[in-house]
Amino acid sequence: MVQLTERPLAPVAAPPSPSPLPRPTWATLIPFLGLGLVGLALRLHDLGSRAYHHDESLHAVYSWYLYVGRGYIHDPLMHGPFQFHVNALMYFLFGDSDVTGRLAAVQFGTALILLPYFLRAELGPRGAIVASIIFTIGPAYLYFSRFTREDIYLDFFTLAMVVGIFGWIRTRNVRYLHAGSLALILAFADKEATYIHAFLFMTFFGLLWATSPLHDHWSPARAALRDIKVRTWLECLGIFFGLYVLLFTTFLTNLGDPWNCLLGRPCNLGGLWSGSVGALKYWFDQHSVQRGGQPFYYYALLLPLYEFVPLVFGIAAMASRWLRCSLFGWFCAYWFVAGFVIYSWAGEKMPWLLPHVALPLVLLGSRWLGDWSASFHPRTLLERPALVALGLGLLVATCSAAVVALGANQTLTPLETQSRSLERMALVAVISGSIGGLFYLKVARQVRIGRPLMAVALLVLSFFYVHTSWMVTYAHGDIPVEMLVYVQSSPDVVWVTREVERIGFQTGQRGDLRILMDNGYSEVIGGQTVVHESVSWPFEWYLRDYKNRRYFTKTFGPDINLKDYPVILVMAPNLDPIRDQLGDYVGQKYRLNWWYPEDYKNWQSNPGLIWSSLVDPVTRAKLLKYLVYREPLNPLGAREFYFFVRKEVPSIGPAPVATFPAAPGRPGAAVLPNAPREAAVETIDGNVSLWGVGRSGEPLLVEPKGAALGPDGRLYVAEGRANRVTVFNPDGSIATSWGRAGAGEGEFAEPWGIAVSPSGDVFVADTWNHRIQKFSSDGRPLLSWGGLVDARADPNSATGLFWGPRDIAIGADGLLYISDTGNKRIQVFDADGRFVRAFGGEGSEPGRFNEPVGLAFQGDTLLVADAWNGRIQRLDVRGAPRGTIAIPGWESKSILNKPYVAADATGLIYTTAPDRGDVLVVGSDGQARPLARPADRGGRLGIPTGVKVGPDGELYVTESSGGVVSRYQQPDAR
Amino acid sequence: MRAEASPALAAGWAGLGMREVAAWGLLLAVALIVRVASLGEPPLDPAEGQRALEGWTLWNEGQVTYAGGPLMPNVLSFVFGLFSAGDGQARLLSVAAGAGAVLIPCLLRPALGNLAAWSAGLTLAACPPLVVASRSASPTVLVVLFLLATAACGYRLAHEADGRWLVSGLATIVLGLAADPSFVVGAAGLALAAAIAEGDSLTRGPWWPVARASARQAVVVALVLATAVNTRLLMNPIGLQAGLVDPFWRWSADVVRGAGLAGPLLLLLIDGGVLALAAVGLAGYRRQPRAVRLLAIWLAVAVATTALMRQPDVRYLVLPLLPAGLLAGLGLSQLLETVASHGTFRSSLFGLAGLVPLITAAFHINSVLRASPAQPPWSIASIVAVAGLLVVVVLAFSVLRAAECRAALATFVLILVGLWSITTTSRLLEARGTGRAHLLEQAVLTDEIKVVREEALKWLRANPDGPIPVDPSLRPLVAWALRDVPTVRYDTAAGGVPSARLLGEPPAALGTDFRADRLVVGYRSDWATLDLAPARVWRWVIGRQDLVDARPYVILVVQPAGE
Repeated sequence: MVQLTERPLAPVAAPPSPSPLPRPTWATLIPFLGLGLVGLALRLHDLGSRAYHHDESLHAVYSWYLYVGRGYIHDPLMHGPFQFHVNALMYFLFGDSDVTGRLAAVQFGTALILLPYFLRAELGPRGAIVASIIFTIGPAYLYFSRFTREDIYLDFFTLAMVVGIFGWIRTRNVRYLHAGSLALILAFADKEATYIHAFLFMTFFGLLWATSPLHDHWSPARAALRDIKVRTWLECLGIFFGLYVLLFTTFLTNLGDPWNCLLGRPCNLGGLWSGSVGALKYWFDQHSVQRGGQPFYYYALLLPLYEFVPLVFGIAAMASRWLRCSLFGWFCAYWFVAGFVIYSWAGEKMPWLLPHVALPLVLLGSRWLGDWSASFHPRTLLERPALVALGLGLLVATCSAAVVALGANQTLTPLETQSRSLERMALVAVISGSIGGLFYLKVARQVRIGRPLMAVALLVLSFFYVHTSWMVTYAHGDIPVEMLVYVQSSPDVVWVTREVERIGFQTGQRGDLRILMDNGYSEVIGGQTVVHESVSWPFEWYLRDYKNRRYFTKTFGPDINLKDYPVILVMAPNLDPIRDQLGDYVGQKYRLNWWYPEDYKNWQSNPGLIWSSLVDPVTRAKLLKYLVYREPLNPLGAREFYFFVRKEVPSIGPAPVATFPAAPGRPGAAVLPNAPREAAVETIDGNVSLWGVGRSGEPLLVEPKGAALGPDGRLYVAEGRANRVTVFNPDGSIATSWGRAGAGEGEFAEPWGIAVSPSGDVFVADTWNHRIQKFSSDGRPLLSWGGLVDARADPNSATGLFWGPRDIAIGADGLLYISDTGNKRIQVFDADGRFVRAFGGEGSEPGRFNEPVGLAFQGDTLLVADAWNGRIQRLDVRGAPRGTIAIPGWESKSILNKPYVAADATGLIYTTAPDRGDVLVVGSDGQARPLARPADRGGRLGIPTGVKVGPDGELYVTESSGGVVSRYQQPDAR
Repeated sequence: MRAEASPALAAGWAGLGMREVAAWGLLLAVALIVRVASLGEPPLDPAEGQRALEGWTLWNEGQVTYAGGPLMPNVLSFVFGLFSAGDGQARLLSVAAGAGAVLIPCLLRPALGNLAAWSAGLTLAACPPLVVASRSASPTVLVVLFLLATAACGYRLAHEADGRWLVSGLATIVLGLAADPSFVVGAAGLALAAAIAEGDSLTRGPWWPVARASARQAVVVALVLATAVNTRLLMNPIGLQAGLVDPFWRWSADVVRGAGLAGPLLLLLIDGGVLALAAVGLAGYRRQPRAVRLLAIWLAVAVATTALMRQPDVRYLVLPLLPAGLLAGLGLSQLLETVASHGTFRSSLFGLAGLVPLITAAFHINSVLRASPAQPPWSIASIVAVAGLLVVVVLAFSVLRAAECRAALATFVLILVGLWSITTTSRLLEARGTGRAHLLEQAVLTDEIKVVREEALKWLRANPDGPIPVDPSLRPLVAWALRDVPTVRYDTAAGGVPSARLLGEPPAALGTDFRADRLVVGYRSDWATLDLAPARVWRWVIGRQDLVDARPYVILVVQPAGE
């Protein structure tokens, strides 16, 4: 089946033959250029939005230093000097920004796509295009082409070396040797892994020579080696050493004074030393450090998870006839096997090394796929018997996927279990029938079913390959649910940076804004040295334009006047020594970086876990969900920091409308606006209408959050950003509204949740005042209770206090159930604010929570939107679990948008997926389906948040970014 | 000129072949992409806002008093009618004109040759000030378009003796006058250059009788066009004076004695790449003496007139770029031809190697400045650069053939010019909407102006009948952003009004009921602080640090406390 297009080997003494490739035409080049353009677009899309990884920020900052004239001194810690020079060039050309920091990686990642063009003789014309396609969309290559680390450069240079070696063997054109030398020195100047690659390449040819009596592959290599003239050797050496000197000495500015070392004086060895011996020594030392602590099977996990297409077809190539008679095939096979062993043995195993491990597999797999596609005419797949086989194959594939998906349900009722079993049996029947049909075609009808089935396999794998690539690159770029995303800065960092910019603007200080930053410290506790980390990276990159950054160590020194510093950043574990001095600040906790829970590491010490995981249906279901949806088996780890802002720096956002101009609040009196708003109801179709729309169609609400229905049929909405409660009459007109920003009676700091008791009392979760306020139905403050506490360590501690209460549900027992979101617990109070009980606590086990937000009652069952666990939990009123419902759409783990939940009398559950813009309906089958929503009307339907079901089954949804409430007369799932 | 044209040039008279069409199409596409990407960002600066506001007022009220030429407001009023008003929409006309200007050299293929004309188009497409002007709601690029078109029509009339070129030429002159008074300065420079370059022969050509025959038709067409364009299809008669009479004297207000070298210096800093290519084009005098002589004289006249006009003003700074761009087309084509005919791997390597002494010198300058800011680093850097270049040159002469040496030099120049153009363009674009890297623009607005607009709209919703007092000094900054807030009142007493308001200066007393948020909505280049000291220019070159200080525009948003 495999067709060999390799040039017949030349006799040893034969003069070099010209390139066996036909003269390249535009038609030959166009597929590569087209793929290059697609690759460039994929790499540039939304390039700057992902938070800078710790390593990225290091590289970006030191490149920036070089760019602004602060120089660069080679240090093996951050690998070679190449990327700093090339990044500085990007800044010089395009300015410094989050996009240009990654622009060089994008360019080399795109250039990598074009390189297979020069390997058409080795890979075959089609194989070269397949290789380009894999480099274009391969998850590891796409992701790290948008990542400012040295690895994508190294892949480019390594492949360029291969082009140089085999181009010379094939053509004897000296340009290949020059280009190969250039690639070699740039690879050395990029990363020390080049030692590994150079070792692999040299040992291959050494082994080829040593085993030459057993085969005839050594002859062309020997002839090629002999044909290199002395002058060419000198030219190549000139290129190598010329660039080595320039790059490692930063263009002769880091020569050091090694002569002093010879004389025994204090000295600086300079870049020439650190680039060679220094680098080798440093990384040999690092081998014992075992940075990352990954197990030996790390790449055996990553390869099938991300680069499964090259893996599958590369292995197929290694078993093929082509490999046995091809020098290039032997080379790639050796490169992969030996490289895989060395990288698995090396102490430091990291996801960004995956592209190096997979590189030879890409070449092998591409060759195999190219040969396979050339072995038949595509039209044969469209003949009737082949089409039938293709269809049956697809049926087997899709039904198998469905069987797998059915196994992904973790908690099922007996009825659901029975239903699943029936479905599974039906699917197995279809699969068996299809396989039978395929046998019939092959045996009885003599149809060649191999190619159609291969086409199906390729189709399915390609689909999943693109899906994997898209998810890791664009959906989870800085969310470490992917193993490829390693200890990644969280999106909170970017958000905090924007806030700092805003404060700089607002205070008029801009780049002169003074920022106090935690420098970390070490202390000895119980004889052990405990290191408290600093908050510096990646903020050193993001805050590079703020000249007045100042670091403090453990406590504020006497020379620090806090009034000068509007902004303080401090690591969460380092807060205690300075907590008492921060009374004039408001602070909030954010994630600095987070990481994938590396549960697979346990397999090393306890291999039996693998088998027990596979036989345990719950774990198996979780594994399946991870494979398909990237739902991690355990909560993500995180390192947190506090962002403090002085209280006198106000928020500048859109001014709340209802309180303009401000009415002075009187004790016991409602804080009412004196500019009542006239709201109209805008009907979109017979089913959906918008409430809270002004006369000109403009939205009147400002970030509405929770909603509640009163006994009088009125709808109460908490407007988070406007700090007020707005009440709608049943006809959609605004009855009243009250509240304004502040911490006084009747004032709010971003209220989220709201509930109305049967007696008409209104309870508001005043989130960032950390309290609950109780009002009469006309807005008179009656009572409030709460206060800030961090009670995550023990959910039953500090009861009556909150972190950030988000929602309130009133049970049939008349008690208030309040989600204390940051403390990961539910607190229960009576209507007068007396504490009754608390339950929950942080975790992913049933009955525990990770960001509980929306609450609702379904009969006597409490529904909790357990947002970051991606599920609705069903609990009894004392917190005992009664089941869970998986909710797709909460994967983003947003810190800004939160889901709410409601239940109707028929058993349907409604919830919101704000980041997806969906309202979900959970039916009796436990499946969440999106509600049919009208098209976005001028941006007024956006970020659905609060949800409430009316007495007649009508549904109210607060559109947080749209500023309206959408009302569905008869909510229908799509 | 036809007599001296080479066969290649003569081929230029023929129609465009498929490859030429594809090449020009590609150029147009690239020019459009560069000009359209993120067109709505940053917000319109005050000068752009004034033009856009005139267009918006025309669309809504039908009458306006033009501050400059009437063409842009008149066309913008229709653009706003078609696509609604917005920052991006306000710049659409300039984008179209900028893209059109890139295609004009196609008309000059008979004079320049196919490759040189295309190269001139490329130069104009990538020329930093023209890229910026094409993304600004300013008449600058309209003037460029019509001036280039006038030159092309004049040339074709003189050499083809076809009366239709006279009609087209007069039409473009009328449009240029309607665009901006600076067109008069540019057209006068062009006429003067043509007169000097051609001398008596100008009046002895075969075009003269043809022109006399077509003159009446041309004048009628021009007058009809002027009436239609300037009066916005007869809807605003006042435009006729603004677009046909006023330009002849309005330019004189921009004449500043003693502006001197500021203009040429700015040209050199901003567009050194084009000027370098133009110098290469000048070196091709022997091949096309008449075209080069005309363009060189036009360049000299344009530089002289620019030096007489108020600076910095992009409208006048771009005038020398037109002949320079055409000359640069000649230079670029020569370099490309040299590389294509004689370039080898080795010559490319030497072309790149030429950069090494320059980079080394640059790093040494940084190193010295870092170690001791007081010590001038220039002498040691010059030695490094010159010695390094000498080494490269000597090596090149020893290793390369003569033709390869030329190719290496061409590669070196192309790389330098490419780097210079890219970095200058990105630097000029970066300056817009921020307080960084200012050189060309006099005033820019930041995104914070949108916050001001949001606040005003909120106040309007809360109190649709209540006036929003605004300090009149803020009008140039906020007039465009607040165009559709009907309750805005520019009131000199705004500081003392007890309500929400926008102020330029802090009020005497704010009271406890109100709070003031300070928003930096823009920056103005303070040209009095222009510092051309070597160290500062160096930092501008390598690190984009400013040559002039940027002064912030601050707006105080006063609103009731607690909001």
